[in-house]
Amino acid sequence: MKDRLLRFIAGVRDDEAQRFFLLSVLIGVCAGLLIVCFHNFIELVSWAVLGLPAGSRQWGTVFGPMFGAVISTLIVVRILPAARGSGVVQTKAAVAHPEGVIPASGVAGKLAACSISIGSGNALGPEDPSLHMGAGVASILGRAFRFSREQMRLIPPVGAAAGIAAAFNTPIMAVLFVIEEVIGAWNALAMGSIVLASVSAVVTSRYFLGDNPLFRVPPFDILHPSEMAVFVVIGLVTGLLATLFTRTIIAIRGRIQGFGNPRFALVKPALAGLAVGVIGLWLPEILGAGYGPVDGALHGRYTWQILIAIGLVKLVATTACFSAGVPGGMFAPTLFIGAMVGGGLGGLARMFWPMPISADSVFVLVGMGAFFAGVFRAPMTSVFMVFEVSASYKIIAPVMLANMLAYVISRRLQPVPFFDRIAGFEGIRLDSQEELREQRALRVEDAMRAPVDVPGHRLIWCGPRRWRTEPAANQAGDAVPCVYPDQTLEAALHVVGAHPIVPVVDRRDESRLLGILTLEAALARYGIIRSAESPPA
Amino acid sequence: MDGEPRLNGRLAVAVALSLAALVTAARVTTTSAEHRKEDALASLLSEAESAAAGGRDGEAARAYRRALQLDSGSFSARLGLARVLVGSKQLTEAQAQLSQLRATDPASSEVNLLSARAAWAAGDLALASDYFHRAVYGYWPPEQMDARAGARMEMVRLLAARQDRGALAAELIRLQRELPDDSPHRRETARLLLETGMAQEAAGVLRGLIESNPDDLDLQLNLAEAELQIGNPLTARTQLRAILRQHPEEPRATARLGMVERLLALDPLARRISLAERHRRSRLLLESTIRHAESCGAVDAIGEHLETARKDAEQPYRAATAEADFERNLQAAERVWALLPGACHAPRGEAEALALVFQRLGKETR
Repeated sequence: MKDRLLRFIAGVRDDEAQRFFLLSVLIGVCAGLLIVCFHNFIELVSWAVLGLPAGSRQWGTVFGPMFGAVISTLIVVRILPAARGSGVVQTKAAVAHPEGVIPASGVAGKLAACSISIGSGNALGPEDPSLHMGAGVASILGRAFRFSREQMRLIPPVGAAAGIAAAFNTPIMAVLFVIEEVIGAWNALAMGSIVLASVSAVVTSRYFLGDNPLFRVPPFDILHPSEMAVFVVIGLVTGLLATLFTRTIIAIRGRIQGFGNPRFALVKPALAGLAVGVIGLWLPEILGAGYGPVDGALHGRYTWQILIAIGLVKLVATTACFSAGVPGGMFAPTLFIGAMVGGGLGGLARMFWPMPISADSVFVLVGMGAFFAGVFRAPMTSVFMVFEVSASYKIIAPVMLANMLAYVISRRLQPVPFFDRIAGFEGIRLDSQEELREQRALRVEDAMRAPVDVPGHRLIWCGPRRWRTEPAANQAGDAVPCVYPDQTLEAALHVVGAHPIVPVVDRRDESRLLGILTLEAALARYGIIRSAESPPA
Repeated sequence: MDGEPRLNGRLAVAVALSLAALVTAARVTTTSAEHRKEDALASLLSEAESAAAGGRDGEAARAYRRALQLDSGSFSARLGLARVLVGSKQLTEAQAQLSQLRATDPASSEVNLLSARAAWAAGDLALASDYFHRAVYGYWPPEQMDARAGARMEMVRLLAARQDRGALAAELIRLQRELPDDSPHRRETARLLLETGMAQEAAGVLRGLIESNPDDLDLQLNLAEAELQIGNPLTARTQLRAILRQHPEEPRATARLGMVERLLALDPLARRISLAERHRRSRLLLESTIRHAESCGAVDAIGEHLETARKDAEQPYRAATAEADFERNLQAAERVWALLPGACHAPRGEAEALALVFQRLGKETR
C-alpha cells in the first residue's frame, strides 16, 4: 500500500499533466471556498447597510451605495491597486503575460472592494470579480507549484472558470465562457482542467451554500410556433439595447476617465452611488445584483410596463456605476436588464398577439440570454447559460434565435467588443477573441502552383499513395509525401522543407495532381520572400 | 518560472493550512449569514401569516415576497404567497408561483387545491377539475381530514357549475360518507344531493341535520322536497303540514302543500281507493293534461291527438267497462304528456303536479 502510494506520488511529481489536473481540482476547491466567503460577505454587508431585505432601511438605502462606492474605490485606487479592472480583462492579460501572474493583493482587494460596493447596493454584480478572484487563486497556486511557462498561461483561465462556476452555480456555462471569451482555444489539457476546476468549485460552493439554482424557473411550454416572431422582436430590441448600453458606457467612461483632478477621483463613484441610492429608495429592485427581482419577473410579479421601466432604470444605474469606476461586474446587471426587457416585451405581446402565448418566464429567459449575447458577444455561452439556468430543453430554440439576432446586431453596430474596449481603458492591449475566432489560417491551396514541372524535377505517380520525383531529390529515396489543398500551410511547411517539390493531390484520388507546392511559394505566401515563380494555381 | 517542479512537505503544509483557513472562513461566514437569514425569514413569515389572517392581503404578499428574496427556496413562503395571490385574484403571478411549487412537490394537496382555485378563477374549469382531483386524492395527514372534505366540497361545487352530473353524483356520495356529523358542509351537500336527483341520500343527510337543528325551516322544507322526489307524497304532505303548524303563514310550505295536495288528488294509482274513484281520477288526469296542453300553446302541434283525448275524456262512467276505460284514459293522458313540447314540461304550478303523477305512473309501469 505504502509502495503504491509512493509510486503514485512519484508519478505525479514526474508527470506535469497529472500535476496540472490535480492542481485544477485544488484550484476549484480554493476558488469555491473563496467565492462562498465573497457571497456571504456581500450578504452581510447588504443586510447591515440596506436592511433585511434590501431597501428596508431608508437612510442606508440612500447613502449606503455612495459610501460603499467611495470606500471600495479607495481600496482599489489607493490601497490595493492590483484589484483594479475587469476580471475578464485581467485574466486575459495574465494569459498573455509570460508568467501568467495575478497578484495575491489583487484577490484580497477584489474580495474587500466588491463585497463593499455590491453589498452596499451599487448596481453591479459579483460574477466578474469572482472570475478575477478564481484566476488570482489559480495564479498563486501555479506559482507555488512552479509550473512551466506554457502551463502557467493556462492556470488563470482554469481559476477563472472555477470562480465563475461557483458564482453562477453553472459549471457548463463557466467552461464555455472561459473557452469562448478568455482563451479562445480548445485543447485536451485546458478543457480537462477547466472542467475539473469548475466542477470542484461548484461542488464546494454547493456544500456550503446549498444546491440552489441561480434562478428558480417555473415549468413552461412554448405554446405556439408563431411565438417565434415575438422572440425575433426580443432579439432585435435587446441587440439594439445592448449596443446602446455598451456604447454609452464606453462613451461616458472615455470622457470621464481623464476628467478632473486625480485628488477628486472619489467624486465620480460618490455621485454614481448617490444616484443609485436615491433611485433605490423608490425602486429597490435595482439595488445590488438584483437576483430577487429576476425571480419575481420569472414568476409574473410585474406588469410589462413595470418590467421595462425597471430594466431601463437598472441600465442607467449600472451605466453610472460602471462608468464611474465603482468596483463590480457586469454579468448580473446584464442578466437583470435582459430579463426585464424580455419579460416586458413578452407581456406587451400578450396584449396583442392573436395566438396562444407562453408564460412570462419564457420571455424573461430569452431576453436574458439575448442581452447577454449582445453585450458580451459570447453567443454559445449565453445559450448554454439559459439552458443551464432553466434546466429545460424547450428554451433552446427561442434562445438561439434571439441570441443570434442580438449578437449580429451588436457586432454590426459596435465593431469592437465590449471587453476589448474596457481593456483599452485599463491600458492593456489584447487580441480580440472574436477576431481570433474568425481569423482564417493560410492553406496549401493559397500557395500551390499549377502542376508544371520544376526545372530539374519531375513528379511521377507510382502506385497507391506513392509519388516520386525524378531525379531523386533526397538521400531518403525519391518517394515524396503528398499534401492536400485544404491542409494548413503551416502543417505543409514541415513537408516542403525536405523536398524541392511536393505534389498537391485530390483527397479522394491521390493519383490526381492538382498542383505543386514549393518552399519558396510557401514562404512567399507568408511574405517572407518575394516570389519569382509562376502565379498560383 | 521554468524551475524544478516543487512538491515538498513544506508546500503541502502551507497548502493544507491555507485550505483550512479558507474552510473555516467559509464555515463561519455561512453560519453567520444563515442564522441571520433564518431569523429574518421566521420573522417575515410570521408577519405575513398574521397579515393574511387579518385579511390584509397586500401586506401579506409583500412580506412573503421579501421572505422569498431572502430564500427563494422557501416552500412555505412561496406557498403562502400563492395562497394570498389566489385569494386576491392576482392570477398571473399566482399561477407562476403555483407552477413552481408543483415542480417542487407535485403531490402536495394544498398546492393542487390552490392550483384548482386559480384555474377555476381563470375560467379553465377542466383544468380546475383535474387539480381538484389531484388535491382530493393526494396525501392528506390524518389530522387534516376536515380540510380534505372541504377540498372535496369545492370540487363538488365546481362539478355542479360544470353540470357534470355523473362525476358530481360520485363525489357527493363520497362526500356524504366522509363528512363528520357536525360539518358545516353537510347542509350544502344535502342541497346538492337533492339538486342532483339523489333524493334518498339527501333525505338521510337532512334527517341527521334536523335532529340537531329541529327548528330549521329550510331543512324541513328540503326534507319534504326530498320525500316528494323519492315518491312519498304522503310523507311530504305530513312534513309540510308539520311545518305549517309551526309557521302557519309560511308561503313556501303553503305553495308546496297545495302542489302535493293536487298531486295526491290526481294520483290514480293511490292505494285503498275504489275502481270508480280510480276511474274518476284517470279522467281528471286526462282533462288536466288536455287543459295544460291547451294553456301552454301545444294545440297546433298535437291537435289531432288532443281531439282523440278529448273524446276519451267525455266518455261517461260505465261499471262494466270501468277497468278498460281507466286504462284508456291513462294511456291517452300519457300520450298527450309525452307529445308536449319541452317548454310545457317545466315544473311550474299544475305542470309540476302532473309531472310527478306521470313519473309515478312510469315507475309503476316499469
